[in-house]
Amino acid sequence: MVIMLLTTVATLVLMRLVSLGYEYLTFRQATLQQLSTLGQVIAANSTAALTFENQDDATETLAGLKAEPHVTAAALYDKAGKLFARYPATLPEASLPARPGRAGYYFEGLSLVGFEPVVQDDKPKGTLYLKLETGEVLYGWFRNSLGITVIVIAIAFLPAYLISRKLQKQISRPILSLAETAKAVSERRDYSVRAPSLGGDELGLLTQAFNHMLTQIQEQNQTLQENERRFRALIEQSTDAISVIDAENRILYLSPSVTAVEGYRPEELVGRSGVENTHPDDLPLIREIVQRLLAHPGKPFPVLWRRRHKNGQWLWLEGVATNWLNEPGIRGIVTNYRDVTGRKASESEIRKLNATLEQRVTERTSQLEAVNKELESFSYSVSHDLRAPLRHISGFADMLRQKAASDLDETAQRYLGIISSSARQMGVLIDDLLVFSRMGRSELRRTQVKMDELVAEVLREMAGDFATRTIVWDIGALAEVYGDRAMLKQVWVNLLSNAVKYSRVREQATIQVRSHKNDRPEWEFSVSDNGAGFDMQYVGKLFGVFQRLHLAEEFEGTGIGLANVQRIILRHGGRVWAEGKVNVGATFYFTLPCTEINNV
Amino acid sequence: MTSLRPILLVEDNLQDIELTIAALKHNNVANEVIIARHGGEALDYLYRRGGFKDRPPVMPVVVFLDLKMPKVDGLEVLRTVKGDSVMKMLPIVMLTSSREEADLVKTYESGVNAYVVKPVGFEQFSEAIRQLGIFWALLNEPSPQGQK
Repeated sequence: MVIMLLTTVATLVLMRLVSLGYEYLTFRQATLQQLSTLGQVIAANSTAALTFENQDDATETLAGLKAEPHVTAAALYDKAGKLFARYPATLPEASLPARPGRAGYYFEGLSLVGFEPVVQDDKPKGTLYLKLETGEVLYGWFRNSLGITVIVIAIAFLPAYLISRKLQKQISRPILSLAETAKAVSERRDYSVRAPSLGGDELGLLTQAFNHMLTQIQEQNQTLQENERRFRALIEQSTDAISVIDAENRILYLSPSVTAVEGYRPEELVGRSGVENTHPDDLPLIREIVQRLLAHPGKPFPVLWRRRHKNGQWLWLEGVATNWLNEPGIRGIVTNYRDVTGRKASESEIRKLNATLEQRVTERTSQLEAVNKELESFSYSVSHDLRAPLRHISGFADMLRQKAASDLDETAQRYLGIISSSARQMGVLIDDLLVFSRMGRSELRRTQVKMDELVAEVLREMAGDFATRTIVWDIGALAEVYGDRAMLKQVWVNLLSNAVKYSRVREQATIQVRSHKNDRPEWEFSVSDNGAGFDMQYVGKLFGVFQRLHLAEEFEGTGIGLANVQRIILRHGGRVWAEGKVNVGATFYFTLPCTEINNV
Repeated sequence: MTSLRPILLVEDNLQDIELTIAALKHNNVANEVIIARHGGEALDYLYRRGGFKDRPPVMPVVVFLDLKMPKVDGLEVLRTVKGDSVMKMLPIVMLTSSREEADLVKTYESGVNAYVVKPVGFEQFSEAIRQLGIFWALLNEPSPQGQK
């Protein structure tokens, strides 16, 4: 407000000074004009006195100048330029110019002097000299002007004060409150305060912009605080401990979870060297990792090392360390780590178990290999050595029967027949057993097998066995599978010959062969007949070795066929099952995995 | 048929020898049957050495060779014979109890001419011997090129 008033006063003074200058010039001009007019009047009045050279008249005329108090000196000179009369009459001659000067008026210091020619009928009669002391005039004029100026300023000051008071309300106060707000914000860091809003002028806009800026700062601040809270919570509530160390392995920060991991409170360790509790064996590793960290800022390195718990036990710690030394706000190597002692123990336990397991597997494998070897040599010797005596029993019994036919009675001949047929029967059993054992041992030689063709082939080979029978063969389109052709043929031989065998109770037998893809998905095959069937009560025995559901007199067979079927299908990764009803028929199912030809 | 060449039967089991001879006789195969009780003896006979040093230089028309024998087994005899550029034309029939696939594969790989599993029943055995006798001893005069 003071500034405003001073400005106003200064403006007024300056204006007044300019005005004074102008007035002064105007005043001088007016004075000069006045003197000139006076000079002309006196000159006109002095013509007679000069013409008649009447000195008294001239002096009297000049004395009339008394009316003009500021005219301090006047003189008349005759034609010849000689002093003729003077004013005031007492004025010494020396203070007047000796001779008249050039016509005209001019200032000489504070005096205004002038020479006016006295002329009558265009004839020069002499010259009038006038001298006016302007000092006093000027002083009076100046005094008046100053008074006016002071009055004007005084008069101007009041409205200026009132206006400035009014303006202060509109300008200064909002700026002041803005300043106060800014001060509050910077001192208290309270970004929620707002400057009071003030209309829509420039100040209102400024306030709005200021408030908007505050809002943005407040929002940013809030986001920053939330982020900080979030990250702090993440760090402090994480089960992982987080450490920040400097390049010299000095601990700068530890998250509270370090207590859960190492037993120490963060403040017990911060400032100390990270090396202190580290296992001596792991120090070279730590040093190496620190070197690598220093060489690759920002790159995370996995680290697994041992540190001593406050309770003295060694812990296995696992974590990831990253060099953020160059990162403002971090300036350290950050490691988040956790206690993996339990896991390490389990790992070594597992390793131990694995080792023993491997050992056990090796042992078991070699045992199995030995058993297999034994089994092989067993079946080899069965194949050779057990069959030979049987062959001899049967052979010599037959030869005996031929040789001694006439000498033996019927009973004796029947006995011999039983001997040889039993030997043959045992031969068949041995052969079947050998086949069964081979099915389990021999390697699968898998190829693409077209079941259509395989079934047709089996039926061709079997045709002689059912030449006298009436059988309706209903064979659907059969899938192509991936498997051991010879073994799968064995499956069909068994299932189809079973169907033929057990359906011979029918005048007209119907045998159906089908395949489809089920929803597992796998190929599902089935062989159905309308034969003797079986009791579902005994379905569990169907696929057992030498298990039979019929008497040998009813249906011949050793009971190895379905056992073979099951073994072959299981080895192919399939399943077998059967459904049946006595005197209605039976259906045998088996499945094989669907293997795309491309994947073979 | 006046100068029938002999059949060499290599067999360790006396009962099998008797059965084989009986079956051959039964089927009227008249060739002389020379018996070797193991592989070594068979090779001695074929190469005319040891006890057979002075035998007449007539090669058998066929060798019936058992697989499983003491000392030198049938497979070794087979390999020796089939590995010999002169001998390899000699037809060899494996006559064995074994149905083992491995045996079958090994003998065929070694160039056997036939592989017969001795059936348990005498009639079937006799039938097998008959067919072998007819084919190898009577009909199949060994060609100079051999069988394989």
